[in-house]
Amino acid sequence: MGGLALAEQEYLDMIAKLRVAQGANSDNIALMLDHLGEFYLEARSFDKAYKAFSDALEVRKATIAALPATAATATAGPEFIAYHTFRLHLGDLETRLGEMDLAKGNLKRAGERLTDSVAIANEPVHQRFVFGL
Amino acid sequence: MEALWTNAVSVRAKLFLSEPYWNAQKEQAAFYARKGDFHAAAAIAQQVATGTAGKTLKPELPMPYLDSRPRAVVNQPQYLLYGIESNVAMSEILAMDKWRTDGPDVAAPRLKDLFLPQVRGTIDRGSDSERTQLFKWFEQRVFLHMSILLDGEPTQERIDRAYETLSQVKGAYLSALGTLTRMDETDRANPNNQLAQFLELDQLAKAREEHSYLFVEAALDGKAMDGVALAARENAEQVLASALLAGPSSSYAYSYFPRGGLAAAVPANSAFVDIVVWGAAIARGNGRRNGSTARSLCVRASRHAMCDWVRRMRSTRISTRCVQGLRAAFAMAGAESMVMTLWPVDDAAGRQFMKFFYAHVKDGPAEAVREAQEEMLTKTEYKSPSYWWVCGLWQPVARGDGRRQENAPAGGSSKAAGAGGVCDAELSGFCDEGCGNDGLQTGERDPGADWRRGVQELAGTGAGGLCVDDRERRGDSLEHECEWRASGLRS
Repeated sequence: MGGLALAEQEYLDMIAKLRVAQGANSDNIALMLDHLGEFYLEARSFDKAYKAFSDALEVRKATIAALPATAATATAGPEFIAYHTFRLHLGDLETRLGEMDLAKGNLKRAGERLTDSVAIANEPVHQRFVFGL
Repeated sequence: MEALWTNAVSVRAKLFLSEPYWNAQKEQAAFYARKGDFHAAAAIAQQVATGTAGKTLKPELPMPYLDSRPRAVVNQPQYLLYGIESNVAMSEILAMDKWRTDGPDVAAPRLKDLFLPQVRGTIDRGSDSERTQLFKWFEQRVFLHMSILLDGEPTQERIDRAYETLSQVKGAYLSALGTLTRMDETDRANPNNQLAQFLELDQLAKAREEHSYLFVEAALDGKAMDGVALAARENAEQVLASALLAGPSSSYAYSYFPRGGLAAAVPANSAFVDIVVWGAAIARGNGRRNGSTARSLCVRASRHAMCDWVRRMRSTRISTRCVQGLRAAFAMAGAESMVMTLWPVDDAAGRQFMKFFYAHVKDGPAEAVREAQEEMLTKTEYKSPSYWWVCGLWQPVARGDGRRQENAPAGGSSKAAGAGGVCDAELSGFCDEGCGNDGLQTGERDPGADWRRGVQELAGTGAGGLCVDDRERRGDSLEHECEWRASGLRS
């Protein structure tokens, strides 16, 4: 097994174990899927990367939905941090996927994703953060 | 989409003293460039250049947790490169606009200049790995820009095909720029250097310029790639590069021993100089000393010896392999003694060792090393031999009568008289290792092997003697053997 294949298997194993330990939708799984997508990009496996980022996006959406309803309106504290951290990640994933859609020539889809991403990035709390790729 | 980018910039207008606002503008310019609208992109790029000139901007905040994102974490090298990369991209966009409006003759000089003003400082300060990474980034960026320029709305297939076709050419183009820039910094700018190789370097630069010009014409103007012409330029580059590498001032010497820097570092009279080596980069004095693979080196030499190095290398007809070991090179330069590390140095332990060393340096290097080792053992927590045994004294010169050649004329130390001298390593308890394997990455050239061959050749030229330590790691023990090679004779 080559190095890349071994690394891929390690990623997949870790994600599988995380799912067992933390359930289908956790912060760690969203991040790990994101890392997997980056790995596939490095390996120039664009389709796999797209799939991994898409999976990460769905998990991230689920983790945001699982936060208390007050998180979105909180102005400080753990809920505030979790909500905006997750939203930042969501926006970053949308950006990544939007760029990939753009590169694939799917301008309509790219426009939708980047519209979402820009909306998140334009929120005042998020404007000072590194955004994009 | 266009409105989204415009809005993204406008909502950040109040952050005009912060990076996010200007970075948003850069990204907006990149958006127009990707669309093929270089005129709109150039207008924004010019606005960025004007708006940020002379300002110190508040930095962006890191994206939490996303340490795999190239740009998301500010303490990642990729992020540090973003400022440079994006600024160069803005300059590149301005050049592309000129290409479209005023033609290649106007744009070409701008393309060439892209790499000099913004990047020179980073290349000069960075380590080899940082330089490699920097150019990798440039290559990726150029790939994206160039391949997308082939078509305003490229398909993935078209990008892939463009990459396959052009990547090697672009890599060679950018690597050439990097190599030339580095040589330029180390040698051309030094008025004390009058290298005949400059002519070959200029020819090489010209060949590479023609090469890149052909490539850019194909990428931007849609001209058919002339494979024969490209191959001819590549061949010319290889011939010229080989000639340079085979010359007495090899690329290795260029990289590892920038003569101007060494000469300037060594006072007019003999002195001790600290030099920290990361791969090919050398700094002195209070230069940066980070990196676990740093090796500290103390050299006693003279300015005359350093300046005279090139001339003597030519006159002695010694193979360039002789200087492919650091010790051999400094011996050739007239260094009287060296305290070198034998494997990568722990930063804190290395700093402590050198403090002890300098506290005793007036007693001579051998005694200073011995005292420093004792103090490391008795006064610090660094009691493992891996800490205190790391520095070895190497003195290449010995008289035939067995005494060390103290205060020898600087230029003559690599030509010691007679054979059968005493290995100074015996004074300090051990000698230097010749394997050269420490600190090398997989696939990296082993300078030690070349050095050994160089030693034999050096002996054939009449050099007095060199101490070579055959050291092997066997478990936790180190076995070494000191042997002499002198004037073709073994003592």
